[in-house]
Formats: sequence, structure tokens, C-alpha cells
Amino acid sequence: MTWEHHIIFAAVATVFWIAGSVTASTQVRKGPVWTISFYSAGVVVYAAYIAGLWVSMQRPPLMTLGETRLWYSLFLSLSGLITYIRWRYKWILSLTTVMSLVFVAVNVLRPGIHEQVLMPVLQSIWFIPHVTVYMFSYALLACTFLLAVAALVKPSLDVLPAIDKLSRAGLSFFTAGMLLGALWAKQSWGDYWTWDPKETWAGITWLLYVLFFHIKEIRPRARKLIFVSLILAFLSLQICWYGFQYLPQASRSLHNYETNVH
Amino acid sequence: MTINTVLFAFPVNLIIGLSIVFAAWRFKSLSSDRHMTVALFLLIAAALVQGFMPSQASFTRSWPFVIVLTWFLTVLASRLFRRFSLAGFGLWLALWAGMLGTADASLTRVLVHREEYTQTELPFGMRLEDFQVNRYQTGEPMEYRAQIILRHAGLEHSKTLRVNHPVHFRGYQVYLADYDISKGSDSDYCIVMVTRQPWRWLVFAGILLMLGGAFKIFIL
Repeated sequence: MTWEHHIIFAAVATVFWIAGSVTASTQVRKGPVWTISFYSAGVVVYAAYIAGLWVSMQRPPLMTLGETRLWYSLFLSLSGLITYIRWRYKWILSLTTVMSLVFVAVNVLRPGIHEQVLMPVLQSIWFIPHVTVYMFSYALLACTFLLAVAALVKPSLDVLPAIDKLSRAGLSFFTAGMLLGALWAKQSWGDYWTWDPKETWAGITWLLYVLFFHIKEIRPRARKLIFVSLILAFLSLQICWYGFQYLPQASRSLHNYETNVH
Repeated sequence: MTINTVLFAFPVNLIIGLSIVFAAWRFKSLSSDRHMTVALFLLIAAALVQGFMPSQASFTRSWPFVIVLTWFLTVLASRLFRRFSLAGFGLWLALWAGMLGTADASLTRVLVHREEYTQTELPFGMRLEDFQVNRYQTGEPMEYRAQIILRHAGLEHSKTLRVNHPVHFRGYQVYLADYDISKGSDSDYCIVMVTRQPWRWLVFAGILLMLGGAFKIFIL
């Protein structure tokens, strides 16, 4: 399987995701069974493509930005599904579908094609946990971002319980991704933390999420402030994930695997 | 503005570290929400300065950054005295040991030649015996392998260095960092990173505790 097959799997998954979103928001069927089945099928199809790409590349597809987008679409739709199963927000699936599709579309237009080899620095047991844990946390935090935006647009929505659960899980995974990265960095570059641009922005993002939790704790009624702090943290996450490449110091980043030799 | 870390070598850093703990315990009012809010804002602002810094400039080794971090550590410690949390303590320990340990740490990039042993301040000399770049069929590098000889007190030890596989020697860690890319396996030298971080076990412990704390927050 190669990047050429991406569009086929993506199209099939998209049909399922849209079917799930439509049945959820219009509730044409009585129970949520159809919604959950459709949406799960989309997740499975997309996961199958990633698995196929992994097998045929003979390395995990986690190296380029394009490859991490695959995981992001997968985990985003998965966390949307979990949120739906748990809290039954009938609009959440539409939002996660739209976000997944944005990244699918970017990948269709600009796939992350790269040599099918793993450079020495990435040959480590830390590689897969570090990146997948991060991608999953990005997806969970994207859900909280969507919930916060929805609540700002429509203040009557009661999204705080969902935001609370999802942001806890999201920040736990984000923390784990960052710390696994620190342990790996010690093994490979010699120090736990070197203020590499990507590390610095991960640190800023982490602190902004901590600030969000802090505000939520000390001002539980300042809903607007809570939502705005959550949105700010998510914007910082975008810089951490890919935006840092456009900052002046990025070319020196040890995390720039698409341009660096090693 | 950059701090001369030599001035803070052991035991000065330990005394400062214990003073932070004492101040946190003595001044209980530091644990208030307001203090934490201010400390968090300051730390985020300081990290943002580093985030927008041009390459190589290291704001994190300057006085403003270290003062902000020290303040954050004091407020956090004070809150931990009032209400302990695993993730909070892990974070505190990792940052505390990471900051103070910098004064006792040494990170040196050393050029290791084939012909002669290195002459550095390190207690041992290094010489490159053999260097290999193993490649995939596509020509992309698959593995860098440097055979180096470490000479200490007249004894020679031959060790293999690979990326992600540092060598531990006499309290130092030696990492393969670079080589002569234009020559590949014929490289006349390799560059190694030699680190000594006596406080690293405390940072490591802090990271593990924080991981445990994150897991706890996730499952509860």
C-alpha cells in the first residue's frame, strides 16, 4: 500500500464519517446504534490504511508531517466517537469529521512522501510511544477546543463536564508524550531538555493548559475566561505541532526530520 | 545577562535549593491561588520570550528566566506543603534538580580524530579507531557506528558508539553526535557529546513521578 491508495481509503472513511454525523445530528434512526456503527466503520477503514502503509513501508508512518496528519485524523475521529458514546452530543461527530477531513484534504493535496527508511536517530523504542501518545492527546485537546468554541457561540450549551474529562485525559497524554520525549532525548542527544524550538513550544503549550486547569479550579464560574484560556492553549499547540517550522530559529531544530540529515 | 554557572557549583546550588524549600515552608501565604496565578503568568511569559528568540540565543540561562523559575518553584513547593500531589511533586523535582544541577553539569562537544588522543579537560582521552556508515539499498544511512578507544590512567578501553546507544564511562556519558558527512565511512573524525550530570537521577525520578501522576489523573 502506498500514498496513492490514500484517497480511496479516505473517501470510503469519509462516507462513513459523514453518514455517522448525519444520523447523529438528525437522529433519523431511533437509537445511536447506526451512528456508532457508521462512525466506527470510518475509523476502522482509516486505521486499516495506516496499518497497510506501515507494513508496506516497513517502518511506522510517524516520520513526516504528512504521516502524523494520518494519525491525527484517525485519533480525532476516534476521540469524537468516544465523546459521542459517552456524552451523546449530537453535533460533536460533525465537528470532528470536519476537522479530520481538513487534514485528510491537506494530505491528499500535499502527502508526506519520504524515503521508506528510518534514519538512525529515530530507531528507538521511544519513537512510537512518543509520537502516537502525542497525536492522541492532540486529538483529545482538539475536541475540547471544539467544545469551547461551541460554548462561546451558544452559551446555553453545557459542555463543562465533557471539557473537564477530555482535557484531563488530553493533558495526561500530552504530559506523557513530553516526558517520554525527555527520556528519549537523554538517550539520544545527551540531555533531557535542551530548549529546542519544538520543546520550548511544547513547554509553553503545557503551561497554558496548566493555566487553564488553574483558572477552572479557582474561578469555576468564569465560563468565558475558561473557554478562552482553552482556545489559547490550543493555538499554542498548533505552533508546537507544525507552526514552529515557520519561526526564524526552526532550521536549527533537532526535530526537523524533513530537512535535517540526522 | 547570562549566568556564570560556575559560581553556583556544589554546594552553593544545594544551599539555594534548600532555601527554596525553607522559604516555601516558612511563608505559607505563598501557597495562595493569586501567587500561583502570577507565577504561572510569569513563567509562560518567560517561556514565550525563549520561544521567539533567534537561534542559539539562550534566554533560559539568563537571570530573568532563572529568577522567574525560582519564584515558580517556591510557590509550587508552598502549595505542595499544603496539598501534596504526585504530578505536582514530580514536576517540582524535575525542574528543581534540572535548574540547580546545571551548575554541576558539563556538556562538551569533542572532535575525536583517528591519529591522536584528544587533549581536553576530561579525565580521559579518546581516539577514533573505526567509523562505519551502513546504508539502506536506497543509499540512505541506516546506522552510524564509531569504534572509539577511551584511554584512562594508561589503560585503553575500546567501545562502540551508535546513535541512541551512548557509552557510560567513569561517570560520563559519551554520545555520537556528528561525523564528516562528505567522507562517510572514511571520515577522519567523529564528533562526540560528552556529558556529566550528577543531578540527573533526581531529574529522572521527577519525570517518573510526573508520569505516574499523569497516569493517576487520567484514570481517576
